[in-house]
Amino acid sequence: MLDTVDPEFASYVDARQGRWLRTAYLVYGELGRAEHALLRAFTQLSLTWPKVDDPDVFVQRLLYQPALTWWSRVRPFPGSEDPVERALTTLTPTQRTILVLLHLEELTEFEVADVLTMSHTAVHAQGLSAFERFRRALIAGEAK
Amino acid sequence: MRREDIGPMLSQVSDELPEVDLADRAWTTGVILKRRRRRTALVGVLLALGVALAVLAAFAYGWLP
Repeated sequence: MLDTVDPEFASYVDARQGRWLRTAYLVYGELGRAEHALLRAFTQLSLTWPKVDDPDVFVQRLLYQPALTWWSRVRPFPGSEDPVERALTTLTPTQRTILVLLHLEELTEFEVADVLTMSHTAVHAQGLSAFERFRRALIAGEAK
Repeated sequence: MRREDIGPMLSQVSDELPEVDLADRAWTTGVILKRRRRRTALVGVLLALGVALAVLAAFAYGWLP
């Protein structure tokens, strides 16, 4: 492994870091945690670079799976007044992750199932309930 | 609200995040981690060799039955 950054690795990271930071922010509900998770995922990728078959799936797994573990759950978007962020806080971490991956990252249900190592049925069901809960929370927020 | 509306809504919330530059930081941390792993592996091998030599010496000098 070179001491200076591999140019291909640098261009790979540069092309994706902005987009993945945004999705990670919505999944974790805090910029610091999102950046830390993304840095950790890219660091793990650098250790195996360029031998990984599908770097995108490799990084996405490392980025989003920790958000589902019970010991890493903290209240997202603390003190936020934004109606969309407040609606996201009503979702469980799994629902929030699936909603963001389906609608912002625009992955298919099969791709989300692969990234989160869940069944397609579970992703479909969680996606439906996430959408319904998010919609209701937004309407309730607008009514206030 | 339709499903198609969610993407732009989420995008709007996260659009104003600051730019980050993680390539150098990730690579440098990876280099440090790799060196640390190598060092740990080397220390482990040396320890195992030390224990093996100690056991051999113990047998050779008759300290062990």
